[in-house]
Amino acid sequence: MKVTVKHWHAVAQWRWDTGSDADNTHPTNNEEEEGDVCGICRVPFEGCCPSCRMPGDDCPLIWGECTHIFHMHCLLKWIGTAASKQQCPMDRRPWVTAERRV
Amino acid sequence: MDARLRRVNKEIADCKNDKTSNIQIDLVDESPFHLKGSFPGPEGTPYEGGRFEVDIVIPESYPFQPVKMKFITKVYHPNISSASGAICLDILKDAWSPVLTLKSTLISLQSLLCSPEPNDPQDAEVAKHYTTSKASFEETARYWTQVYAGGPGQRKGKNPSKGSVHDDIAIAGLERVHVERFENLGFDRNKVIDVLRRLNYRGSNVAQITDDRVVEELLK
Amino acid sequence: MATEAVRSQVTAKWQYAFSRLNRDQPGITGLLTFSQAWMLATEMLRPKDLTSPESMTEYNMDNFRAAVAMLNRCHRLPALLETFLDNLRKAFHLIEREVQEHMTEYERTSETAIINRLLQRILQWYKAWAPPQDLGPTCLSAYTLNFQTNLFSILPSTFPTAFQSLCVSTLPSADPLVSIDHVTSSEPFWSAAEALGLMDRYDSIIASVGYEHIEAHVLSTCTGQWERSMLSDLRSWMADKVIPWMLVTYARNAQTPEEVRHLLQGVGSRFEFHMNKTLCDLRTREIFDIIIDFPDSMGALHDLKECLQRVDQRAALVQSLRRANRKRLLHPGADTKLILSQYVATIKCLRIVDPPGVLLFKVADPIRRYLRGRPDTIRCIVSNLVGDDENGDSLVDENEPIQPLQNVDVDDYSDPNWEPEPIDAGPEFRTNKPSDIITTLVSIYDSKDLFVKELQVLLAQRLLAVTDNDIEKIEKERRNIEILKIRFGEAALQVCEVMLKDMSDSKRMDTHVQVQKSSVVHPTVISRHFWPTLKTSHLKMPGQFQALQEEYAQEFNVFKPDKKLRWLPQLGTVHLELELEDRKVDVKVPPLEAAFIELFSQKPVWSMDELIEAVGSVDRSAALKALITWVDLEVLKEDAEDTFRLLEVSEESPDVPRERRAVVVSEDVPPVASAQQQQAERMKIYWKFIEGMLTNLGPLPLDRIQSMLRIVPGYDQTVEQLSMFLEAARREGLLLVRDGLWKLNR
Repeated sequence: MKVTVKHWHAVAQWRWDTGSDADNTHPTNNEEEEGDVCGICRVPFEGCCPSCRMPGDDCPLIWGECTHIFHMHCLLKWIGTAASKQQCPMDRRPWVTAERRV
Repeated sequence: MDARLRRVNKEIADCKNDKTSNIQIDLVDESPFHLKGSFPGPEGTPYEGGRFEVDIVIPESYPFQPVKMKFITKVYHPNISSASGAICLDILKDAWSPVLTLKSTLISLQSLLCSPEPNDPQDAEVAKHYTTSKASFEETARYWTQVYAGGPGQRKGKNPSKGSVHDDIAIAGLERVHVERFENLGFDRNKVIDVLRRLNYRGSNVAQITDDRVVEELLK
Repeated sequence: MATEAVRSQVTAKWQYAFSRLNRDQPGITGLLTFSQAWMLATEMLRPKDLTSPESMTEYNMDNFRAAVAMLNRCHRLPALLETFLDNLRKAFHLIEREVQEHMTEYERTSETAIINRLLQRILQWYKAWAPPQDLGPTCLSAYTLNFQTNLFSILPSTFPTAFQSLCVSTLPSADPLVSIDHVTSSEPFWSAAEALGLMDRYDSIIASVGYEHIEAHVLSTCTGQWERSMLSDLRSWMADKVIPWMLVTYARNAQTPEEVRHLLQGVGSRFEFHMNKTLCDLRTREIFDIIIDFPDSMGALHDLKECLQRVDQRAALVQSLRRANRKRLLHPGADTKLILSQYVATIKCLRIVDPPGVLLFKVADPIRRYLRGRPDTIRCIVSNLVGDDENGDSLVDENEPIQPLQNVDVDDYSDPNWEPEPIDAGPEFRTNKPSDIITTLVSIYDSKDLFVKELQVLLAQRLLAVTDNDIEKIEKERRNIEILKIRFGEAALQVCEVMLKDMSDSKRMDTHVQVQKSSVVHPTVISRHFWPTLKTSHLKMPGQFQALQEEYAQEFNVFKPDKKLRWLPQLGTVHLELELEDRKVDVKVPPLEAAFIELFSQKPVWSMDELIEAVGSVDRSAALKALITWVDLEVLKEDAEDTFRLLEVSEESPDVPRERRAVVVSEDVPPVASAQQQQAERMKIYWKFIEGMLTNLGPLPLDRIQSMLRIVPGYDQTVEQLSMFLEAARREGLLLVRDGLWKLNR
């Protein structure tokens, strides 16, 4: 017998490629858990920051050279405050946005 | 729902779900921005066995501004005002970061109890006591824990109403014999306690402070 | 021995009587003439047998008058009257005989004409026996009274019924062709009845004849006739048919219209009331079906409204409808959708009948409570909201304006149009300002959150079922969501917006990826955290499917370098073509089916356990269902138990012509857990507490269970959610409920 797929309407979730998770092989294990959250707003990366309504490309992430990741809007808001002294909220080192590897 | 409220609600919920840290956050009134946190005194410290309550106010621009915290429970600690409960801790001031949470901040307070910083004091008298005689300081801190934080020994120990004289001396971190000596000269006990505390009449200091100096202060 | 005194007294009395009768005539001549006069008068007055010749006797009235004058002079008229009446009584057997004859005949034939004849005959007797005018009105009325008394005493017990039948026969015919003249022709009968005192005696019988006539007419013309208003017809019928009968019955002798009006006033309003009441009772009995027929029963509803203003039957209406609802609607056999649509119709109907809404409030309460206990109520309402009804029978009127859900209104003290609540409104009655149907339905529950959740679930299901990124379907959903936003508020539907955006983004992304490298895979890429909990699965697609997934994911990553795909292999549909030795099979199947058949292309015989292991892990029932699909399509055959073999060559006899059918095998289980299922999951944690509570404390009411659960850490369910959970537990046979007390079923 030969099985030919003519059309496959599949369903998938998108995730940010944060480079951290090796759980690709166990997709369902991860289903229940919250996943990584933005340290500033505590909303999952795949959710959107408090000032956005649509997740994904409209509410992207930002990577620091220190490897810390936040919702871009959250980080920019923090950096914009005097109290931040332009430091990463995680390690209090000067924030430097990393070039995204593509 | 605004971001601050959403985050605070989440933090309260997270804390409820986390049974291991033994840190509790409760509402004080209807507002989710005025809370009461509590945590057990760290083991191996004079605060062990006590439960310490902290008043929490969440500012408008949280989490970009630090939460305001102060102890409700009276604590004898160089970095905590023995009178007002105000806390001297960098993360509550300029070292604040939005990644800090109510829970992690309360944990920081808990660890502050483990490691006093007398060089950056909130309560100078307590700090002096600490540096003069750590043993005496710890005894006082333990006594405060018993009296104010429900620490061990309180129940079987002194009945507060009966032994209130002793209490005042212990709370001030002084020696009973010292207080009684000056009291026998005809001074009011409270006045004696007050002066000796201010003079840090403890440990090696006792030998350095002359009786005349004490009397001089008492006569002021 | 009489004493002297007594003797002299007697003598004096006798002397007095004698002189009165003798009238100072010489000797006893006076006494003799008196005696003659007495004889003459009594003889003339004596009731005669009408059937004998003596009744024909003519008397000289002058002599009679003279005799009466004489008796009057002697003060003996009262004695004469007494004698006359005594004679009357003695003679009444003559009438009695005829009454008996007539009644016997009537009983044999049931001819009302016989009774009529009897009455005329009695009237004849009555007239024949009547004393002459000369004796004066006192005498006549004494006679009439005595005659009637005697008559009533001899009328047999069967007479009233016969009389009633006779009355009935005077009624106008229902047949419009029969002239009304027949009514007027009954006049002699009524006159006789009146003369004989039967009108007064049988007043209630006559009235009941009228009532029954009206009742019969209302029932025969109005039963089941709901489309148009019947009241005006009934009124003109009353005017055309009943009033003429009333005229001849009650106002025969009236001279002027005023007199007529006066005579008919009482009975007329009673009849009018009776007509209204009969119609009201009828509609009350029919109300359930009238509601079913709505809007084709508008006439009946308007009639009912008018009748209720005259007849206070509101409580009866509520009772009747509640009883009907209990019996016909609120039982396990009724579909939730049916209950909902009947509820909506009830709302609409009772708003017509009783605009303030008191009746509705009273009737709706049990329905609402019942619906609250049903597990699929929310889903039903929601699917209706989004126009998901297959038969298109929407609960909501197309033309009803879409408006935000209204809050249960607080009394507005500054409202100038405020009116007091109707007197039969209970204390818990809330003024039901005409809110729209959806608001009313949503208000069955305390919070709209469950609805919003269910909406999300339903939308998710429908969107995931959209294959080929059918723009039109997605657009339709988008329009739906726009409408729902007005009702539920923007924020509540934010999540739905994300879902819709995921749909259109997927389409755009897929177009891009297909250009990079074409693929048969066309995924819907969803944003986690924004879609309702999807049923989890450990399914792993085997063989070429996995290759297809990986290839597509790679291309996706080229297009969106900062994102990656995580497949939800249990969702979606696969369109396959199977090339077997002797045939081709073209099918659309769920992923698990596709995974299995892919495995059969590697090896022709598999045991169920091997199959399950080869696709990761799925539950046996799902696996079996997927295999059955192929068995039904005659692609697989179950050889031994749980062992399946590929049929490269069909085993069906070749001469049966077979079509190359394109089959769509759809999932019958929704892939998304419904809000209520999710709810149930959350409740399960508390089952142990409930079980313990009921074990230790015995049967408990709902409120008590709820208040005790509140002590349990983290318990945040509403009493309705608890009620739904308990109801579900009851259906599973874990609990019993009686008189509002829940107990364990042991």
